[in-house]
Amino acid sequence: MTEQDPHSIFETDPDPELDRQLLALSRWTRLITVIGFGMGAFVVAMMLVSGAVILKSLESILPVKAEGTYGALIVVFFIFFFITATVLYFLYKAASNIKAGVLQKNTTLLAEGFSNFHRFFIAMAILSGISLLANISTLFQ
Amino acid sequence: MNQPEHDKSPSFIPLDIYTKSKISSTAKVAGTVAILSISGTIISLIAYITKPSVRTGLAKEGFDDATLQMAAQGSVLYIAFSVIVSAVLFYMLYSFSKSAQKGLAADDRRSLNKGLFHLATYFKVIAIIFLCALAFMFLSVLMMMLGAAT
Repeated sequence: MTEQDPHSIFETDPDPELDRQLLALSRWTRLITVIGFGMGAFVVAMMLVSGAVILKSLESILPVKAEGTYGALIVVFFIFFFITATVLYFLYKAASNIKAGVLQKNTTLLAEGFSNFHRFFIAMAILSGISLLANISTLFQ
Repeated sequence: MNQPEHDKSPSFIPLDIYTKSKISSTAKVAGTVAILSISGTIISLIAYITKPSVRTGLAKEGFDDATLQMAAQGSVLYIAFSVIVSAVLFYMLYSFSKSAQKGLAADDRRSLNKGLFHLATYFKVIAIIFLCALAFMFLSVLMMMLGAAT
């Protein structure tokens, strides 16, 4: 009979430490989504109340003056808004699935949670890549 | 006092192959994100040090010396804060990537737990920065409203 490794992932002993780490991960991720969605709601409210004034003042301080800048600013705002909302949605789903997976002891939910983290990090990799390219272009200007 | 059952019962989550593969792929992408983001920070720091136009962006706008000096000091503080935060986030994310992959490859639960701890700390740091930004935003709006009222 083979002896089982006491720290094996596949062991059948209870592991409160894994629970604790997963719940902490879920808790902090959920806090980020709550703050993010709160900030998003604040921005939407501000844009509804005085969006035209904010965009006009942004247009006036831009170094490039061209026709259609106001429309371009609106498009950029919506693209930025929806990318942020999508990233926050991935985080929210990850937090919810991991918490439910731990509480229900369901590995499928846990895997779904990490799948959402995977999507979140892919989005972050794309954004970090764009930011890196922008920094490189600044360096060689 | 009655507690919910899940609060009392110990955990039993034997991670299956599918869950392991998801954690592993997340760890790999997280490692890439960590390297990309720290590279971006290092390049922007090099640009700040070597390019005078990045440092003194206000010079062209006709501001006086005192304003330029204040702006330069603020810029130095901002860059220093960005570098410190980026370094901490890189350490947490990269540690998660390495520990989780090591834990899954060697079937070592302690390494996996350590990796998850680093991922939780990574999100904790981001949450604290978000809270500070929220407080700053709230104070700015409050000051604008008070300024408008007087």
